[in-house]
Amino acid sequence: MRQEDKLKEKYGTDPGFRVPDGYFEELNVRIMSNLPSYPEAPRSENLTAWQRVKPYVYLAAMFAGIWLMMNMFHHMSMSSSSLNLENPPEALVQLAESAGYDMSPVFSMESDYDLEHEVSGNYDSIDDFETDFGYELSPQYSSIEVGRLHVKEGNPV
Amino acid sequence: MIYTAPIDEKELVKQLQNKATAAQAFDTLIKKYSQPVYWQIRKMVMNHDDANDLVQNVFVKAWNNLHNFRGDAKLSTWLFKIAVNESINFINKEKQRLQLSEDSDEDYLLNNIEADEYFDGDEIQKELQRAIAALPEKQRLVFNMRYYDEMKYEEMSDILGTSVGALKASYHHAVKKITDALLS
Repeated sequence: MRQEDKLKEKYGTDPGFRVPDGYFEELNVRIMSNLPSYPEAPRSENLTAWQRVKPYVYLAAMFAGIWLMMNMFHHMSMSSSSLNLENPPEALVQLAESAGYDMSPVFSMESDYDLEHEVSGNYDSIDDFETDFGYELSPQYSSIEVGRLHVKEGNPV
Repeated sequence: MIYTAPIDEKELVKQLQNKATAAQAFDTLIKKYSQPVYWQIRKMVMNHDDANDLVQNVFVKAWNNLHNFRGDAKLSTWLFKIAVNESINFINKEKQRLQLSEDSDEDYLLNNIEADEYFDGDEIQKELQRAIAALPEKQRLVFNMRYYDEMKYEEMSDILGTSVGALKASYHHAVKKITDALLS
């Protein structure tokens, strides 16, 4: 015999609870008399056209802002890499000419060591460099030994 | 217009959600479900006065939330769910008010049954109620629903939000604890 059946056999299924006479006959009357007025479902507010589209406008503005920023960063990175002396000199000159740049201020911003390193690492002669760049080096750089100079990184000659 | 109480539950729900017929439909709802809801609460709080207050609270709460009832569950399941929540909240509040510890359901319920003038069970019935009061809350709920009302596990699952497997395990543990306490 299952444990549940043993319990039911000995204890039955009447919990022994009673209610006052006529309790359930009057229960509905008591409950109904305590009810508040019929509850109205909360209405959704009437939204104006602007309130409806506002989230979408904000979202579109956010994406447009992100697109503009990405475009700007892309343009800036392209410009900065084009003006880098590590680019092929032909490309650099072409860019400078097309943009109407005067290259001398750019070179003057480079330290003597950087300029010497670039020239000595990439050209066999100062003449080649000057031909490529259309730029005549100042007499103070005439001592650069091109094609034979080997320099350690960050260690000026 | 003469109101006719609907037999079909869907029709009753429709009338409950119509302002013009809601009051009469709700009266029908109370007549239909007040007894099972009352007895469910009574077995949980073990005292008529508290059960009387709680059953009224349950129906007032149901009335106030008629617009939230979507008809996915049965009306009885919805009402039992409210009744279980109300009863558990009530017991916890009473324990706090009486400054009893969290796990003192047994003391609270035994005091309730002793003080209840509408308990006329014999010593055997009182013995079983004492054993039920000693069960953890969830097992006590499951035991009452299954042992006294033979409620289906699927309906219990909807009311208590617990899987059928977990409910079967709870009932098994509850029966074993009571059998060990009373029959061994």
